[in-house]
Amino acid sequence: MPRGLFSPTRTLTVATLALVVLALAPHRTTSWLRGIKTPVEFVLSPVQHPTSIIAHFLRPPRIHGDSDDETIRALRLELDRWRAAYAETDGRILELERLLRDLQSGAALPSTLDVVQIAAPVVGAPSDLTDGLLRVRAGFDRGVVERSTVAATRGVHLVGRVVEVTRGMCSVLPVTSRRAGLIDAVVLTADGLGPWACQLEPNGDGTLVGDMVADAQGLVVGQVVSVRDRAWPIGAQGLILGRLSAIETKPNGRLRIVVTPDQPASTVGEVILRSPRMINSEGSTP
Amino acid sequence: MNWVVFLLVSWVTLGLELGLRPSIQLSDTGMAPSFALILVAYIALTAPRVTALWAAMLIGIVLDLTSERLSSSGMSTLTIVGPTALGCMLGASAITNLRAMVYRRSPITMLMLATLLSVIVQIVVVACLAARSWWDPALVFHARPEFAARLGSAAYTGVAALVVGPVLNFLTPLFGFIGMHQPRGGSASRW
Repeated sequence: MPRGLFSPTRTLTVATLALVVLALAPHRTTSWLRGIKTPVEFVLSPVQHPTSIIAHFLRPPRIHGDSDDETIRALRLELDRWRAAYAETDGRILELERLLRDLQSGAALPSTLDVVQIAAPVVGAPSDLTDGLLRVRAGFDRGVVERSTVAATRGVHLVGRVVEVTRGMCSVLPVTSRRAGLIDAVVLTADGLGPWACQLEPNGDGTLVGDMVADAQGLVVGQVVSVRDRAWPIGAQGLILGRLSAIETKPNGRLRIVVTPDQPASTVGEVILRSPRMINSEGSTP
Repeated sequence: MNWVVFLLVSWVTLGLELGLRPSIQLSDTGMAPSFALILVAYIALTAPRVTALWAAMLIGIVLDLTSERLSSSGMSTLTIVGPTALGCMLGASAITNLRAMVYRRSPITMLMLATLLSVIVQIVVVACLAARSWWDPALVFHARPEFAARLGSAAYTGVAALVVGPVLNFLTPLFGFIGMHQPRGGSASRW
């Protein structure tokens, strides 16, 4: 064997060339790299998880508009739960009306979905914060399903949707991330005239902006905005996106709203993952 | 260099980085310091050239593996290995060329070199991802806004080096660097 064939310098050159190829090769040829990622995360987790817990302890979650009074905080949370339940029920009624029409036209009775809730800690983020993804310590071993599971705080405030799942971890894309895309929602008004529909998009600063339907009225700052989007999983329906923080009238007369989540995604320390569970027509899980 | 100590320090540094970054980022801008890049800058400042390049490559690969980018559909993630590793190697190479001109134990040196290395890493990452996005349909990449946030992270990393640098300097005897002050081509460049 020629001397120096495996010298550090030569091996380094070969490794560098391999990295250039991996860096530029299309995803379909490099998807196997995901398999290496899980053991690497496992090795780093003994330092990462305690650090994350300490970080959340030292920098507790900031909740917009929250009171220092424990009783007021509890009442406000209870009110939010009822609002979320109302929005979910209202959306469910519309869904059942649609199902009734389908059944009257002869369609078969479908299986329905229930929601399972899983509490899990946020253990940090990927080393690249560009997309604002959060890493949560719960994987497919606990029933987390890619794209069908959503994350919420305090049970009712939507954080985002699960976009990747491994055995023990999953990644959540916050609804306020620039890459999260559009989401349909409703504003719950106190006068009984609503709820009014709107379509929101991430503003890039942790808020959501969008236009209301043409006939929307009775909107005031502080009102709750809930998810009602059939493109989102069942576990997200009715969850609270945030509160109206600004309302302005556009030149065409339509209202443009800004919605601010109660808690910024980057400060969330623990989430409730809401995962779908199939129930057949007899009411039992298959 | 004592590779066991290096791996232990890297393990702690990378774990701290992944656990702390969301909490110490500036608002929701994605600008956060990288402790791992400070370690690369420190190794490049003190270790023999080839050793420094290997260490930079290893840390860069782990950073790539723990990095996630959203796919073009927005419904899955991509793991792209290479850009950060190449950036770390290029940055470490630049520092090994510059280190004869700097005072190693000064905190300002760590600030300047960590910032320089971070900027080089971000330029390489942006260049690689921009090039890849031309022919990889799974990747959507907007270079300009992302580069601005990455430059902010590079500056933040430099500031963090003022704190992390002295800690690493304190650990220097444990790393067992041989011939730190010998000229290139001497024992300093040995494995």
